[in-house]
Amino acid sequence: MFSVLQKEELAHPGAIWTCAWGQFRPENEEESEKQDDSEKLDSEEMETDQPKEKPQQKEPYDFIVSGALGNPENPEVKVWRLEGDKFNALHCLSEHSLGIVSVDVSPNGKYIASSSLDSTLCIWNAEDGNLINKISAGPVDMWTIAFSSDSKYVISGSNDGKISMYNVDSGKVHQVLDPQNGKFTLSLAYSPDGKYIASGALDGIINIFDVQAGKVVQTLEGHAMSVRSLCFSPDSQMLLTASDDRHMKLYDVAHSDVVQTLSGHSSWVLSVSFSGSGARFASSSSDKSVKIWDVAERKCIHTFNDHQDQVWSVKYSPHSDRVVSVSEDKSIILFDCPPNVY
Amino acid sequence: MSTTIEIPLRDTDEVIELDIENLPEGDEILNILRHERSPLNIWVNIAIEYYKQGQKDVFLKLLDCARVEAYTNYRDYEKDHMRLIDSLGAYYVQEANREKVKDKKRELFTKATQLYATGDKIIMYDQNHLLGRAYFCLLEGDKMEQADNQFNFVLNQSPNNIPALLGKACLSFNKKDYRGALAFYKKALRTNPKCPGVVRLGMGHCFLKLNNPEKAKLAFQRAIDLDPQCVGALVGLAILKLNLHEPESNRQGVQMLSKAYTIDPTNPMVLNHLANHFFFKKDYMKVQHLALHAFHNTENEAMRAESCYQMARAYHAQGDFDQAFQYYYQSTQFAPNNFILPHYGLGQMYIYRGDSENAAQCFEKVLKIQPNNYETMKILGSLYANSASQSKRDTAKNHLKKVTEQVPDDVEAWIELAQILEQNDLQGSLAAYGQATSILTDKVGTDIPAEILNNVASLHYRMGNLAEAKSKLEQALERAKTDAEHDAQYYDSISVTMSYNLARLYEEMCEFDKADKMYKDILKEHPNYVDCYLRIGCMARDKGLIFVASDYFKEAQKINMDHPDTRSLLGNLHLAKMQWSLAEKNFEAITKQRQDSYALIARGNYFLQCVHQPIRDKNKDKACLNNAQKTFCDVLRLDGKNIWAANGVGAVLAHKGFFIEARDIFAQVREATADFSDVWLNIAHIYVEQKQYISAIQMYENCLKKFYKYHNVEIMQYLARAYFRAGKLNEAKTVLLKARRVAPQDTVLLFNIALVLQRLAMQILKNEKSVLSEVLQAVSELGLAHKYFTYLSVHGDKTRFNITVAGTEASQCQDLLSQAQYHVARARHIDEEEKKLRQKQEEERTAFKLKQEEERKIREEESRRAKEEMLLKRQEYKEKTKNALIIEIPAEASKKRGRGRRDSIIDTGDESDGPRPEGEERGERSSKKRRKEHGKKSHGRRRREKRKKDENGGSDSEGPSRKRGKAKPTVTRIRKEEVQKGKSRIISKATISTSESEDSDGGNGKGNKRIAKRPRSDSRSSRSRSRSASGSRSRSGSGSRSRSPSGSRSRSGSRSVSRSKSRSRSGSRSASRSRSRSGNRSSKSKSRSRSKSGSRSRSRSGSARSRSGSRSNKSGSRSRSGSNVSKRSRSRSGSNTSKHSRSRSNSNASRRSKSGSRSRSRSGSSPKSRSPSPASD
Repeated sequence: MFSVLQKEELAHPGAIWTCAWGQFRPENEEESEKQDDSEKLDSEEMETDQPKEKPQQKEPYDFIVSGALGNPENPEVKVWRLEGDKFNALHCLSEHSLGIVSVDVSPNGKYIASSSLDSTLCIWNAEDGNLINKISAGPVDMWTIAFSSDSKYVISGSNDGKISMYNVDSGKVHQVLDPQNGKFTLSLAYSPDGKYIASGALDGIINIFDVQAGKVVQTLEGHAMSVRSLCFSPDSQMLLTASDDRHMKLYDVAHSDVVQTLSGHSSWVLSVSFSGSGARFASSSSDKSVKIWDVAERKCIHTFNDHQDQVWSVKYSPHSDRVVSVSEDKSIILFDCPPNVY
Repeated sequence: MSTTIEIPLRDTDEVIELDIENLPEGDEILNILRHERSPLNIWVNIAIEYYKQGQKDVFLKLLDCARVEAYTNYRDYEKDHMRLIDSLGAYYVQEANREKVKDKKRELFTKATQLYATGDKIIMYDQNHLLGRAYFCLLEGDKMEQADNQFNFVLNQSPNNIPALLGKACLSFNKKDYRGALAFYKKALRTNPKCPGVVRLGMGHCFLKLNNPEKAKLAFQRAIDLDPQCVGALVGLAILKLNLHEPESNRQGVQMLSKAYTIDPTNPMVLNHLANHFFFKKDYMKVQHLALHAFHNTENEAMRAESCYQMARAYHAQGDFDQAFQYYYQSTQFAPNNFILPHYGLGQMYIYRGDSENAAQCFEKVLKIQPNNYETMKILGSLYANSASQSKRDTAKNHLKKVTEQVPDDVEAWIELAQILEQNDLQGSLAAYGQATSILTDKVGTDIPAEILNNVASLHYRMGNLAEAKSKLEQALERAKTDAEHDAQYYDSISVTMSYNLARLYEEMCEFDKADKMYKDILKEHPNYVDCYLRIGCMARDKGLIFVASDYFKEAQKINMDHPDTRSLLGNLHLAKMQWSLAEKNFEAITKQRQDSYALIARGNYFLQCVHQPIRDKNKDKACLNNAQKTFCDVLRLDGKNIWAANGVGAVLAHKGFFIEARDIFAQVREATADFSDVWLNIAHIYVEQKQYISAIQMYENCLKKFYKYHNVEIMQYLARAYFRAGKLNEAKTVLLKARRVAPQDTVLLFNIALVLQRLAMQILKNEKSVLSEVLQAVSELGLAHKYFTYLSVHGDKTRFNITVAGTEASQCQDLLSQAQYHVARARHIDEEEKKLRQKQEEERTAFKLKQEEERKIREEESRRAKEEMLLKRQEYKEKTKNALIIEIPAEASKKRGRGRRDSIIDTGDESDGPRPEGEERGERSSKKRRKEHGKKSHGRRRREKRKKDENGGSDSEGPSRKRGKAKPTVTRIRKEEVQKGKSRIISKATISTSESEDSDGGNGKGNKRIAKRPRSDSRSSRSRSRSASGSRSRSGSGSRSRSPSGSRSRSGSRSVSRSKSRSRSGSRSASRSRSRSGNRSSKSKSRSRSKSGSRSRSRSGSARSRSGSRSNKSGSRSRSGSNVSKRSRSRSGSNTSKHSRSRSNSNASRRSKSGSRSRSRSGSSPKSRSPSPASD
């Protein structure tokens, strides 16, 4: 059954604006290296002591990163380790000011990137919470961010629709994709196969870039209002977009066709996320609800109304069995969404 | 009685015997009498015999001659003379009574009067004379009292005088004292059991009146037995038979009537009853014939009323409503007060003619006589249900409630009630529909008609139970599909409406794709269904596809050029795109066609908007405001309860600076409805103007919470501005950041954020007690502000604010930043010193501890040593001096310890205290110094800035700035101007967004959003409006508007239906009426027919209504106007404040600084003005 597994009230002092789901997978060699690093940088709440002592016993775990407006003094990124159904606060990353706009976890689970209203991008070590790089951009040149599929770059949207690729290690701009005459990029997605980047703009235009060629390959004009979220299906065949016009659209990436228009939210759709299997996706909206959709049937199979305010972000777990959502009401909720139940 | 009359011969004793059976010719007897000079009594006797034999002319002749020629010279001559006069009088009275021609009648009456007058002179108190006179009075009418007196007089003299008794009985009967009448009749009968049958007839009537049909029947029967020709008895018996309502007795009754008819074909009573009978036989020609005959045969108004009524009814049943109307009307003129049936009929005719006012009056009359007549109440209920006035609708509600109480099984009444309640009591309405459906299913055993299901669904929809509504609608569609077999055309048409409703429902459930598909399906079959185009257009508009929406609206316009909804929607679109003149054109077109409040308000808003146009003639502002005010007032005159117009008036007042008055108006509007966000904003704006920031903040926040699920950037900017003004910078910052989260591209927002950051940083920096971390954060935020300002000074949206302000702000930030280094240094210094201090203290403390420890150790050692020594000494001295030493040593040791400790505490205290104050002083001093410097500098700078700003302002809007400088008199004026400025800025932004590119995307997006928003709200108001309109329209307006049939099918449908309803009802009703009149039975057939027609019309109208309802609910789309207006006005008025606030906020910020500076600059160097300014900083 669909149910609420855990609700973390007051997870942050302010409205929570973004979240990401990460999986930590220990790799023996790198691990040891990293441990060395972390040893040197050993910071406050680190639990690194344990792994250091018994490297073999380090287990993979899921974690959730949440970013919030915070109280006026310190906006913050928090990393929560999921143990069963419980959130255990792992790190509190504070380097930004104003408010966190976007966070992402690298596909390999090693890095966390966060961007904030002050137009800074921070890249953190996911395991120990240490700051790896801090990048400052122009006042309107940093908004949502995403990791590349190979975890080497972080992409960020900006005011004129340009997409900047930053190298994770160096923090330098690696490449800039220019859509020509683009509008403010509100949302970004990197296809899992690494070929495409999709960006959703304020005016509803969606650009799909070919990363290799560095050009726009498709422009989708399905929405006329801001596209606040988009994501690729795990097989990179489909692109799901969410807009202020209360609709979501499912595109066939190869042919740039609208496969389906989905409606059901009564206000802006703020976030969408595919499940790891690609059979489902979740959406969240200003109407305070979280909806779970079936991709094959293209209809809503469940609606959660457990938040008291706008649900800014929702993420499906890679295992396709759980969903996490964060809201203006300062809470994080973990939902149970068994993949075979309708 | 002797069978012969003897006429004594003159001068002899012989007599001529006249055989009564065999009277000679009149002239002969006259000659005989003259010749023999017979005494008067013989004349009279003979005359009476002639009368008895029916030879009235002879009778008359004899009596006339007798008066002159009879021999009167005998003893009792006077008595005989009286007899003569009385007989003659009585004869004339009788004739007069029979005479139908008025003139002749009067003539006869005068003759009678003369005779009786002469009689009075002869013997006043003769019994017979008195009786005759009394009857004369009785027949002459309206002299009952006189007649009664005379009868009483006679009865006093001879209590068994039969004519007097009968007269009394008659009088009593007329006075409705039936029991008394009966008593008199009985007495008369007792005195003379052989009375003619007429007496029995009177008794029969009495029994009838006394509700004793059995005895009445006996009496009538007896009367007929006595006199088979007695028409009255026949009629009475016939009525009795008819009232039994059995076929057999009916037949007998009719037979009797026809018998009576053959006896007396002119008796109006017979004729009327026969007419009534033939009415039921549906032989209307005969009815008309008989009734007409009856009408001409009577003078009695009641009878005539009845005849007219019969005729009217016949025409009514035949469908000749004009004739029917005439006769009904005539009948009501004749009818006595309690004969109300013609009023009922007339009412129906008025309904048919669509004159519901007169109809209502007729039915009111009926209801007055029969206060609980449920049919009348029902009709009145449905008449008033469509009335425009609330009080009448309330009476309708009461009537219908009573009806449902009286006859809880009347489905129709329940449905009517439900429909009335639909307007304002959704729950009650739903319950009523529930009753109706349960009656239908349980008692009638039929399925629930699709129309009711549809209406229930629309109620659920309006109450927000979307799932319930959906299931009902689906049932309704199902039902209509099965019913379509019987009446395909009708049911197909209503299922289109229901499909439309379902599509609306899907829309409300946010399943837009389904809704879209349904609308398009409907259009495929009915390409003229304008509403579908409109809805699709609205959905496109809400999706931001303005051009698609415009296409659809234009499509709709092709079908119907003059559809006001379409025009309003188009006008709104133009407004949203800032195409003022096009919008204005649309609204003007609507207002030209008719008085449309929505369009008027839209125009008013347009005028208001003009005041905020960036490029405009400032001199025209006042004219625009006045125009707006006039338009709104016009609307209010049309519709005194139009809250949007009231809101508009409030906005105009606020523009003119009458904030208190404006607030009163807004408060009233908000009391009227809480679902109108503009009013909330306007009230909040006024609070801001009046510096009641806390209230304003609450208002804004509630508004956001109540009306917007998402972050509404515009309102959030207002809110931030209120916080800013209230000095709550942190809150302002939070709100602005939240707004930026959804609108990152908005440069105005960025400006405001930068400004707030700057202010916050300055606050923190100036506070010498700020901790280092705070200072550092402040500095970094100041850096951000600087970055933002620098960016804005280049890339800012020039149409929305003055980017040079950003430049100056940036340079100010720069200065602040450079100063900030000092602050940071100071803070760091303090921090370090503190740290040092702390360290020092720590060190000291540890040192002290160590020392103590050492001391302790030493002491311990010493003591140990001492002990040892002591021990040694003791041992040594034990032997020498024992006592003294032992006492001394312990005392010393204790003393030492205590003092030592105390000292140490004091020491540390001194040390720590000492440095601290110093540091503080230093800090304070330095900060003070710095502040002073800073203050000076900033002042100077600010002044400069001010100047610059003013210049800017000048270039921007010359009028205001110059005025500002001068305008000392009222602060408000300045504010207003600012407001305007703010507004104008907003507007400009919008235009930019459409035309330009660059940063305009932000503006664009916003613009779009706003559009979407505005229409929606608009639609809401319009919706409600439109609903009411359609409601009223559908029923009353019927004829006037002819929209394209299929397109506005629902509407036209409802209209036509309503008419049919009235008609059908009247038809069926008449039947019921006739019945009720003769008996009180309600015929099933009637109710059935009625219910059917009723339900249909109802349902149809219901659907129309529901649709409109739904429209209103939802969407705004249709909303044509209301919302629009309102929104606009709001935005406008709001904008007034709000706009400026929004744009203002940026400018606000600038303005703020400006205002601060301004006051300063104005008052020049007066220290007073200056002192506040720092505080504000």
